[in-house]
Amino acid sequence: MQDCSRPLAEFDYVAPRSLHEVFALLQNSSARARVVAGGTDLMLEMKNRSVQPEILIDLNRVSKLSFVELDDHMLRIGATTTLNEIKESSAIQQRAPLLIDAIIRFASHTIRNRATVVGNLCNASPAADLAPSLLALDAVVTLQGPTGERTIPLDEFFVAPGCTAIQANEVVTEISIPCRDGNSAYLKLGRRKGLVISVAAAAAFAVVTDGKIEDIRLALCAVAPTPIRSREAEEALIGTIADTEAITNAAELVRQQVQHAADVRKSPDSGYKRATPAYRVEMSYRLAKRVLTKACNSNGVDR
Amino acid sequence: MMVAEILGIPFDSVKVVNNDTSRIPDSGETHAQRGTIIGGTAAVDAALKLRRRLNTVAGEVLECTEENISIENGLVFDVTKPNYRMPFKDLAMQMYQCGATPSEYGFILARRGHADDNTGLGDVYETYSFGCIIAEVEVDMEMGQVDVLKLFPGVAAGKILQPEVVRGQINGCCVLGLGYALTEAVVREKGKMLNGSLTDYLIPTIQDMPKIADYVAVEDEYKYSGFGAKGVGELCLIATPLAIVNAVYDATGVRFHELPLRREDVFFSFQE
Repeated sequence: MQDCSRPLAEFDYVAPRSLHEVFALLQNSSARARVVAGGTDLMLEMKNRSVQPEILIDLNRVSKLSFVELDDHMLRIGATTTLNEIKESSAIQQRAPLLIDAIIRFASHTIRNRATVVGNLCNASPAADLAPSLLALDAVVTLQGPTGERTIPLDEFFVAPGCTAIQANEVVTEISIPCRDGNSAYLKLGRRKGLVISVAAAAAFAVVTDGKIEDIRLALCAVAPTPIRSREAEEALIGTIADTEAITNAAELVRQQVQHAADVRKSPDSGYKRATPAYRVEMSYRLAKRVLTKACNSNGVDR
Repeated sequence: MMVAEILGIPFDSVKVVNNDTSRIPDSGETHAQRGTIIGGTAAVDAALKLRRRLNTVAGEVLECTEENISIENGLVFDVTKPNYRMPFKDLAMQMYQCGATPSEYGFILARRGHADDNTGLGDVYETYSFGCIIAEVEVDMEMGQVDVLKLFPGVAAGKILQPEVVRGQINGCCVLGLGYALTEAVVREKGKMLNGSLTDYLIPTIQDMPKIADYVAVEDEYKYSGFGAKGVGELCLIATPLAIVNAVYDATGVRFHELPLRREDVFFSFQE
């Protein structure tokens, strides 16, 4: 516990109207500038003094950053689009229901009125609830800096707990999701049903034709220092018949992957007040098995 | 409500004054469902004494015997001549004019035993209420998850005075008991609490709540209290986690001896 009784250190708050202003502010301020959208994580970190920014740069007034658009089989979500806006979007409901599944289990309605999907990713919590779905959907992150724009796959975006591939002078402006017909499944395990930090969560997206897995993507969070995709399990499944044996073998690969990550992961949960690594390993195996089974067998009907 | 019933006046015309405990005699601690039986019975005692005086004055005004006086819904009348009804306010004015005091005091001499210092056992209280819970659970043995589907409460708490209040108390016990059973663990390291916030010390949310059946009340009226009530309080809290743990045992054959049933512990117990 940090001492919350003493007042917050003073900080500047600015709400620029354009990205150019944002870049200028980032350029001129020290490393202790923080870009904020919903702020639902940042405000808590500031309150418990684990983050003490000198300047807060609020993106909410920057024009054209809040949108959900569907073009050329690509869904695009802006940096300041809130989770409830996404939840209500018919384009997302139809083309990326896997994201909706995660949003429904994400915090409370009031938090979802403020929290943004991009913010959840930029915060880079190992337990980022939206990461498994977006990883399984093969989402791409668009970053803009003073010299231009670049895109990277979400899989390469997470570096370490709280640390991403964003450069000091960049901001994430949107997330894009390639739309593909397929089946998906999401499961979140917490220590209670509602409003809880994940002990583990998993998402799978599968394209199955005549029982054969053409394409599959599996991702998990809260079981490693960053949200992860399980490429070994994916590769083991592609081209096989989606039966129990294949899925169990793939889930076993997830278990090994998470086991390795759990050995690496030491710090975030001191005293294991939420869950021990051994438990997370077992849960990742079982969650993987369940989401893979559901994604491979749902035939797109029981969504 | 007990006072209103005895005086024959509307419930909301009784005002309860919260006293300063430093200025009144000690009546013991607030625990063990004592509110109804101690405070309630003393209030009933006072109300009965006042009612006798009201009957005397009313008998004089209405020119009938005290036994024939009835007061209903704030109206005073002679049961043999029910057509004429005097407002309670007028009776109060009559009391004032004839110099009869409208105030009265009530007492209960509460028996207070002492528990044996060594065993902690003993007959300590005035009387005892009893509560029970039946829990219906579903256990996902692969994931080690206990899902409480429905709780069926029952009480033997003497006469039930206010069913809504009793239901509220019981529902509260179910919420508290569910957290007690499944999530509310204090995690310590070298004596320091590690989960001292509601992010990590988990109480049930609305999404965790099971269905709660209508309660069953066995009205085993107590001879020496107002209206035979014994009190409900947090009666069912003790039973709720125990019923859940027993239901898990019944469903899985695995006996747990520690609360709460943390998902992780449950999971590893099933693996053994």
